[in-house]
Amino acid sequence: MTLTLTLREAPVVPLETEGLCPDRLADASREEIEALPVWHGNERTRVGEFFAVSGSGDDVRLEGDLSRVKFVGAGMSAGRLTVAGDVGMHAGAGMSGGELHVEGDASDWAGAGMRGGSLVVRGSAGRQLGGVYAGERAGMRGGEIVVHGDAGEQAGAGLRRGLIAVAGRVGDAAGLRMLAGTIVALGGLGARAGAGMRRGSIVTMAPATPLATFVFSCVYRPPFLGLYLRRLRALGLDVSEEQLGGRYARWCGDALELRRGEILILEAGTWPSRSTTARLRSRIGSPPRQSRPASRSRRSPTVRG
Amino acid sequence: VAGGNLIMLARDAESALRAAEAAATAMRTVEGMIMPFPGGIARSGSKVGSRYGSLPASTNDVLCPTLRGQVEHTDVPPDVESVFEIVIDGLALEPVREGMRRGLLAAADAGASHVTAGNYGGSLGPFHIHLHELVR
Repeated sequence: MTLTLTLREAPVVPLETEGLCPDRLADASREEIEALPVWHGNERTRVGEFFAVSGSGDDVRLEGDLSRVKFVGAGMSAGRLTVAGDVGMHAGAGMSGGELHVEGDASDWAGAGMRGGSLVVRGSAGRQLGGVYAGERAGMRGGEIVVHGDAGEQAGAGLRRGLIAVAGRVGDAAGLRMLAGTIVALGGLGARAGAGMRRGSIVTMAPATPLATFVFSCVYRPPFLGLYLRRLRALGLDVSEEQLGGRYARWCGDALELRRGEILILEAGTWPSRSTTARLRSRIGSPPRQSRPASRSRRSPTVRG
Repeated sequence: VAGGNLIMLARDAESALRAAEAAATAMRTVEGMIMPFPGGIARSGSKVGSRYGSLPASTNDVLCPTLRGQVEHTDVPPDVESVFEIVIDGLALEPVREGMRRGLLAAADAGASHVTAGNYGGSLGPFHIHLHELVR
């Protein structure tokens, strides 16, 4: 059964609701839920002042205009929480399990410091998606974030583990100082992606120019990427056959750090693959091509060292 | 005589695999030697030694295109993006030499841009088979 909390009217100033998690609401009575504390600006008040509560269970649905409601699902560890519309800042921040579905847009810091579970945003996400709070060494440390729209600047900043996938475009400085983990930007990356990254993978399907502190390695088909992209396709993202079977340019960086991270950029026109083409040609009896037309020079203007 | 090897480089994975398969096919005709890897071909070439004391072999990083941007020194030419290795164990030196000779010629015919081999400074043993001498 579904527990539904309906916001009666959008708050004038942001409403901070750190207790609105399925695992905290599942066993609570209606009165207990209504008595949970929330902060309306600098005023401490009750959930019941803003939300109408009906139903029960750990499948929680929040309705109304929650674009000024902060910390929805923050710290949740189990259950399912659905936001029927937009949600304010810090949604799913620090969550360690369960599923948080946002049917509209998510504001800044969605999934920041996340440790597990899944966060799905049907619209777009703001800045610092899965990001790192000031003073923290690492941001997201596990789990899965899937955004069907775009994402703002510094998505995956400080990422240590887990997957952030964005169907649209990701803003500037994606993966800023990331430690490990994976960011997939199906719609392309903004400037300075991977700045200061130590390890991890940033994947983009649109042309991109890595920073001068990244060094070109090769063009190849990363074996792990097929698994990731099939998973994203199963989650509802529009992953094309070209993205699944194409070849990716690998750039290593950031050379100012460990240089063990990578940015993988889909090479346009590399699918169908040469082997697929060769198989098709062999069926009709003509020999496969032996060479590629031109060599590339992709040395970054940086000095190796 | 264990650890003989032939390393094929090419512009892409398809070309390198085609060269490696041609070499393996040619080398199977030699008596007294085997290629211990499945199909005769090792996708990930290895070198003797590693940064860990208990690990006797590790990725041959100087001949790994994927690591080209990460290592201090690379032997992978700029237009090469794929490298395969064939490892050879023989009952004597001569079958290994003959296998490498046939494999070298077959790989070159099948489109490898470069063919090389490694002894890793003698770490693989006392036998040295120089590829230039095989084709004289």
